[in-house]
Amino acid sequence: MDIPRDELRRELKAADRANDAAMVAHQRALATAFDDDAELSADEKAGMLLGGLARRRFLTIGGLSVATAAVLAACGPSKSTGNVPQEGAAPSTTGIPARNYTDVVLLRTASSLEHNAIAAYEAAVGLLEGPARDAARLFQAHHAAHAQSLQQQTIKLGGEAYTTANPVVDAKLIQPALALVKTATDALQLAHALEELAAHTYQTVVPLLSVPALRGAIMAIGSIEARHAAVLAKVLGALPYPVPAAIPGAGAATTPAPTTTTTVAGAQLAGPVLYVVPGSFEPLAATPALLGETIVSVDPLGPNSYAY
Amino acid sequence: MDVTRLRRLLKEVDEEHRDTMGSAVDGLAELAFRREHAPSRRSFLRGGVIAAGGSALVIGPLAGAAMAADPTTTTAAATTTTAAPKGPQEADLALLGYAQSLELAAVEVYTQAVSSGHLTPATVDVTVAFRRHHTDHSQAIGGLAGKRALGVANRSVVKAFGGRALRANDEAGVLTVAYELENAVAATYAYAIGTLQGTNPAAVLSSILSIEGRHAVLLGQALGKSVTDIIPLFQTANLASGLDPAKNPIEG
Repeated sequence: MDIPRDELRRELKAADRANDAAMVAHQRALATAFDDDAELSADEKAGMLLGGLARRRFLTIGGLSVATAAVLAACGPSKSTGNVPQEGAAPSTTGIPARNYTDVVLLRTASSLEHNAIAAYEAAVGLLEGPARDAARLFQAHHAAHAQSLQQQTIKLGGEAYTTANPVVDAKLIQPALALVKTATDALQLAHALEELAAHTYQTVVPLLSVPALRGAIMAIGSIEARHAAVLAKVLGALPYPVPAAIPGAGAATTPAPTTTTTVAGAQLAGPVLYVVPGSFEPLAATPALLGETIVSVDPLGPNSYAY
Repeated sequence: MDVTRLRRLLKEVDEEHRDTMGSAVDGLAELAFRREHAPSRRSFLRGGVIAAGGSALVIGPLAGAAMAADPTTTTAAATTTTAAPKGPQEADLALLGYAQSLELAAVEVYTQAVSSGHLTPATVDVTVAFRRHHTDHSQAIGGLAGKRALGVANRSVVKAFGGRALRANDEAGVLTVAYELENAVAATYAYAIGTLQGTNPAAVLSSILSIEGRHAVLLGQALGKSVTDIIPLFQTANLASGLDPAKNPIEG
C-alpha cells in the first residue's frame, strides 16, 4: 500500500493535536478535581475525570479508574461550603488543649479513682451497720489493693504513681454528693454509683490501652468493681435484671415496666430503677443515685477528667 | 512511506501517550503511600498533574492504615504508645471461636438446669434471663470471630456442667453448677482479654466478663455464700481456674 507523504503528515498531525487536546483536558480536569477552590461539586469532579467516555468504554475501562473516581468523590469537598455571610470580626475561640493519653495516664487515672472510692467509703461507713458496714470495709480494702497494684504498674511503665483521689471527681461529684448523704441508704446509693462509675470507666479504658497484658490487668480490677456494684444493688433492693419489652401481637405476657419508690421524709418519691445485672453487656451509661430527694447522675470518666 | 514505517510511527505516538497516562495513574497510586512526606497541595499543583493527584489522595483509604501505625505521644509522661490494632487479629480468631463455644455451652447448661425440674418459678425466670444473656454473648463473639465461629456449643463443657445440673438433687445443686460455670467462664475471659491483640474483641469480652461476674454474684447470693466468697480481691485470670481449650475442647 502506498500512502502519500502529505496525507500521512496530515494524519499524524491530526492525531497529535487530538492527543494534545485530550491531555490538556485531562490535566485541567485533574487540576480542577484537586483544587478545593474550584466551583465544582465532588461528584462533578469525579464525573469530569470519567466524562467524555462512552458508556461502553466506561464499562471496560477497568477497576482502577472507577476506584480512583470513587476516592476522589469521597475526598473532595462538597460544592456548597455552607458559609453564612456575616458582618464584623468573628469572635475568637479557645480550643481544648491537645492532650494525648498513654498507658501511664490511663493507669494513673484508674489509681485516682480507687483513691476516690477509698475516701468515699471512709466518709460513708459511719452511717452503715452490720453486714452493710462489713461489706463497705471489705470493698474499701479491695480498692486499696487495686490502687496499690495500679500504682506499681504505673511505675513499671516509667510513670509516676498517682496516690491521691482524682481532684475532678472529688470536687464535682463526691464532695457535693457527700453533703447530701444523710442515711445508710444514701451511703449505699453513693457507693453503688461510684462502683458503677469505676466499672464503666475501666470498660472504656480497655480499648485505649496499647498492650493486651494491661487490658487484662485493668479488667481483673474492673470486673471486680462490677461485682461490688451488683452486691450493693442487691442490698438496695434492685431488680435482678431488666425485663425485655414484650413484642406486640406476639401473645407473650406483658410485664409492666418496673418502678421503684423510695420513702423520703414521709413522701413517696419515684426513684431511679437499679439492676443487679443491667443487661447482656456492661453498660457505659450514667448511673443514677438517689441521695435524699436529689437524684445525682454519675457518668463514667472522660479524657477531661483523666490524671495526666 | 510504507505500511511498516507508518505502523512504527503510530506505535511511537501511542506509546508516548500511554507513557504520559501511565505516569499519571502511577502518580495517583503512589500518592496514597506518600502521606507523611507529601509536599503541600499547592506545591503539588505547581509541580504538575501527577503531583496534584498525589496530595489529594493523602486522605484516601490508605491514610487510615498509616494513621493506625502512627505513634501517639503524650505531653504528660513523655512516653510513646503505639496504637493497638482494633479488629481481631489472626491469632485472636481461634480464641474467639472458643469463647463462642463456651457461651453456647452455657445456653445449653441453663436449658438443662430448667429441665432438671428442681427450680422454683422465680429461679426459672432468672435462669431464662441469664440464658438469653449468653445467647447475646455468643452472637456478639460470633460476629467478631467470623468464619472461625463454628456456632456450636462446647461439648466438653456441656457434658461436664450440664450433666451435673441434670443429676443435681435440688435447686441448690443446680445453681451451684451455674455459679461455677459463670466463674469459670469469667476466669477464661479475664485470661483471654490479656491475650487478645485486637482492642475491639478485648472490649467486647470485657463487657461480657463484667456481666458474667454479676451473674455469679446473684447466683452466689442465692446460694447463701458470703460476699468474701463471691468477690475475690482480683478477678482470677488463668485457664487453670477457667476453661482450658486443651482440657475442654469444643468437640468434646
